[in-house]
Amino acid sequence: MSMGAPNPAAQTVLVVEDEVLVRMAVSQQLRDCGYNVVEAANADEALIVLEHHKAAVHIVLSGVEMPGSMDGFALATWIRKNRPDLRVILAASVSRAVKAAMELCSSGPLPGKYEPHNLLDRIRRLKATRAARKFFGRWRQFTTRMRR
Amino acid sequence: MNCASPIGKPQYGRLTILVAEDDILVRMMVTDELRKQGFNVAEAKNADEALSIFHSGVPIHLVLTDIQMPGTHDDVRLAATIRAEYPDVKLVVASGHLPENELRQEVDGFVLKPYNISKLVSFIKALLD
Repeated sequence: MSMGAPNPAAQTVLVVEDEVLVRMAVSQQLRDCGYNVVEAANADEALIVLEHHKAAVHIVLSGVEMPGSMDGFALATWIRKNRPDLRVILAASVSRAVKAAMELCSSGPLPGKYEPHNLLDRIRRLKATRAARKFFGRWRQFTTRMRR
Repeated sequence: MNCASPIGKPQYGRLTILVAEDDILVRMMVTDELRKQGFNVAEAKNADEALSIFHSGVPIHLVLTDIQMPGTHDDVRLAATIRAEYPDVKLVVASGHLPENELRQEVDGFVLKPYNISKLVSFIKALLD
């Protein structure tokens, strides 16, 4: 299953990450492993989800450094105090987030042969394509302006 | 047929919708429903994230975007950028009020908020048929 219907029997992972391409790729990997996934772009969004979605989240996988009113450590502290039933995994880098996602996959509803380097490579490709397209987009704008 | 998607396993016959919405609870509701309907769904909190996803090479078939989202790209510029760089992508705008003429000319559809989720899904399916 990939990006398809949520599996009601599966556990729900709240992925908190401000880099959209990392968040998207990690969330997708977890969905492929059978988890329901909620995506939050920062800790403020994560708090809104946790306060409005009390029963449905089981695991929080969060980055550490994030913009907003709190970082990953502060989010973990809030969860420990207010939602001690939740499992919290903090990942201070992309490779650690990938490793954590793979460990969840190995014990998830659809354990398979998931390779951490495949996900890391996918994230690198997405970022490289974005950088190249941004560059060519700016170059095109520049040359268009020069022709006028 | 090779339909390998850079955001997941190979997809066959699935269409990808990008939902750009700054309200996390609304985004959750809409993306959940679209996934239940069998769509691939990518999520963006604002216009900048939406463009990031476009530029990353993920194949997107339809964009559902809120207007008046925060970010360095405003809604009109997002619509214009998508139209200029990705002319085949369907563009649906959602708002609590009717958008300006300039924006309406850029889009394939307009949806009033708050969402009627079943009507929204029917509308999206009709656009992608």
